[in-house]
Amino acid sequence: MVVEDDVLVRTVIAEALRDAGLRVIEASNANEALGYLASGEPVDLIFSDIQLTGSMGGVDLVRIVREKYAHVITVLTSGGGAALAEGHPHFIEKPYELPDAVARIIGLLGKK
Amino acid sequence: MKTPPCVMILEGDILIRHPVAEYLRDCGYRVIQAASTDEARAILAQHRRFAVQIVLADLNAPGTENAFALCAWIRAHRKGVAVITAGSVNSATEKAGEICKGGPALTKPYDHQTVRDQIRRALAARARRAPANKS
Repeated sequence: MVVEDDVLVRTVIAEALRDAGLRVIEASNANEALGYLASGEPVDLIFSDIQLTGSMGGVDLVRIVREKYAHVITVLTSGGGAALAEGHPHFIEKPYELPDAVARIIGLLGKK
Repeated sequence: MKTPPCVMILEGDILIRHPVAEYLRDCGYRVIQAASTDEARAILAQHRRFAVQIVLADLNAPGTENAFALCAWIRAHRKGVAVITAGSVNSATEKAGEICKGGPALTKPYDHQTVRDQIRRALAARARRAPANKS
């Protein structure tokens, strides 16, 4: 699941991940992501921006996901919020090269 | 390889947007997802990157701009883009045809096959109009 409030960024990374053979869910904010997870649909990995519009940012989203859905791998991304991701095991700095981000995500899924 | 037709789904509910997007991808379409009218505007502004041919628009979609107004704008300023509106009965779906000049209007909840059929019809109509547009 890609959680990103910039539709242009979200669309491009989602299409790159699909082209790599992954099934991708697109959420525009944290509430959408949590709503989708609560529906019971399977999610293996969440790739979330730290700065999100809405009532919750990516760091809080990932904290809740790790508490409630421990099997879900969480990856944070940001252009200027790397310090906020401190202590989080998986972080991809923006701007990222699409092939690099895709390879990193596929690598993490492969380790499951 | 032929480029698949590009459909943009404007829908504020991820539990509706995602399944219909997946279904249409399985049907062979390129699908762009917009969660708000603001996101739809951002995609439409990038016409070279995302050559949207069909917009499936929920009339209750969130955003700074009313979805009715966005659909009317698309019809007026993006002649090559077909608009299919969707909404609940309570949201005055019937008015959509009037406001959006008689375009197809779906009542929610809609089934995915109906969406696909409407998209096929809209693309066929677009293709019929295309030669005339070129002259």
